[in-house]
Amino acid sequence: MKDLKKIIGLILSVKSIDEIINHLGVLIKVVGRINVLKPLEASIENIGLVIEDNIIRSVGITLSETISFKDLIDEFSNQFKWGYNHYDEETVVNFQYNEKLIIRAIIEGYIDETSLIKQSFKRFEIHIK
Amino acid sequence: MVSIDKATGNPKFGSYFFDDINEDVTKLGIGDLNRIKADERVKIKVILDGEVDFLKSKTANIEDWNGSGEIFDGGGNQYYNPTAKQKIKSYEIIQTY
Repeated sequence: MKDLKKIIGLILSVKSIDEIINHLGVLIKVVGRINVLKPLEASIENIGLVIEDNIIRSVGITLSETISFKDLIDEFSNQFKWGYNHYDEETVVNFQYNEKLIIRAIIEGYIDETSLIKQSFKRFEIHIK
Repeated sequence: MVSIDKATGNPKFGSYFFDDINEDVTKLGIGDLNRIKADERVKIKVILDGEVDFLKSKTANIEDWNGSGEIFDGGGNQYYNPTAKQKIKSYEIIQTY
């Protein structure tokens, strides 16, 4: 959870994109708008920043350890939006962090909304309005 | 139309394919062009290892799974096989949005 909160803090800060990247990792490849970094922290498995017009639009994160759904709702909100993305075969849970940020937890396969409480997540996206 | 994983830069192949390069991608139940771009979807050409059977159907309208309430248009042609992605021999990104 601390890594997720650290990344959220960086995104909400007034730091430049280069400063944010330097705090997170080293650029290893660019795929379209996605800037994939080699993470500095071993607790982050993968991280990429979607950058357009010199603005970070979203961040993709894979953590080395999972976060339980209970911890996510305790931290972010118990008002969430569940959905199943049949096209990419993922279950997604969206938390409105504030008026600017959405935190999305992602897990492979179909997980019924009533079963979420038993799940743990390691894949996240942060979406910036 | 494959979403690129934002954390790794790798394509996330699913079970749905199409065969017409000029297929209207906004009729595949994945949203309009703005949504396609926001989801980092790209058009990918795949070469499969051998013959693979698919179920052909029309895409249905579907509500946005992110809870916006938006309806994604269907009506396009799709080919479905949940194991076809295991037979992808090579791929090439042919269009970004």
